[in-house]
Amino acid sequence: MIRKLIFGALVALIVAPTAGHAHRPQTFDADEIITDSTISWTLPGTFETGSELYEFGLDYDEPFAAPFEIFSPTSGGNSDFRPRYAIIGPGFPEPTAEVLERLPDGVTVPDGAGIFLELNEDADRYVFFEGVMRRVLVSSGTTALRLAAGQHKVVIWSPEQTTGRFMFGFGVEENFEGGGFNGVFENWSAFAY
Amino acid sequence: MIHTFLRLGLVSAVIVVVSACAQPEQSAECARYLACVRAIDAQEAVTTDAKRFEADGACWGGPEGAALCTRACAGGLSYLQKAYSDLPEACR
Repeated sequence: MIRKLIFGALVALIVAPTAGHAHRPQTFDADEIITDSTISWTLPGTFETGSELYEFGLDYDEPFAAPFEIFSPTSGGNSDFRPRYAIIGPGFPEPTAEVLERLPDGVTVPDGAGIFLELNEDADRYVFFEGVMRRVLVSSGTTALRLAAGQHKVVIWSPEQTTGRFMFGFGVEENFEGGGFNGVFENWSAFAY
Repeated sequence: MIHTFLRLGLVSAVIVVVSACAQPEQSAECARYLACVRAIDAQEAVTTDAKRFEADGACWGGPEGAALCTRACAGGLSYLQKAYSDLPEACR
């Protein structure tokens, strides 16, 4: 009896840490503006040449605060990759000349909009095991951001045309209802690296 | 003797499993971040959707989400303090 109990406890020990937190997958080519603040999202991408520019829109009826981060999977020699992102929209500080200079070519800032800029330059980055897809990721650092109501644009680019793979994630709530896995299997290589 | 070791092992495993499954509570970092957000809201006469960070929010549904939110709140408050010069007292 004791052996059975021990076996059960050991199985629980192995299974428990794999129950993970998961974002709802989304792709950049979905041509969709994200408006639902009650879903956490992840968007994967690859910089093949380093000159690509990834963008998507956010539009909220009321101010919204949630964790934001960009991470790189460490497999395949990707652990040194440090993609950058900016969120452009109302409520963020007005950009200085230095901030504007660090944005990639072709990115414009509407009148009255501010910028949150993540340069992903911390020497020690947070490394974690993501239990749902079972992979190790290194994060830019998670930041809770408060976005004012209205339209925002998220821009992701690679510094100095470095190449690599990334995932952009934000939000907390796990919600896969209403087609939460749409596009995942069609774009499996993007999500399951 | 063997049974004593087995029992100790069992008790240790149960403690680890129970503590891993325990519902985390709102962290001090997120309580501070939320207080700051609510103070900014009061200044701007708006209400930010920050339900996930509240004591009964989605952040505290499991240890992984709780750790994510706690890191986010610490980083978020630090960012606010660096980026804005006119923050309310609750943010300092």
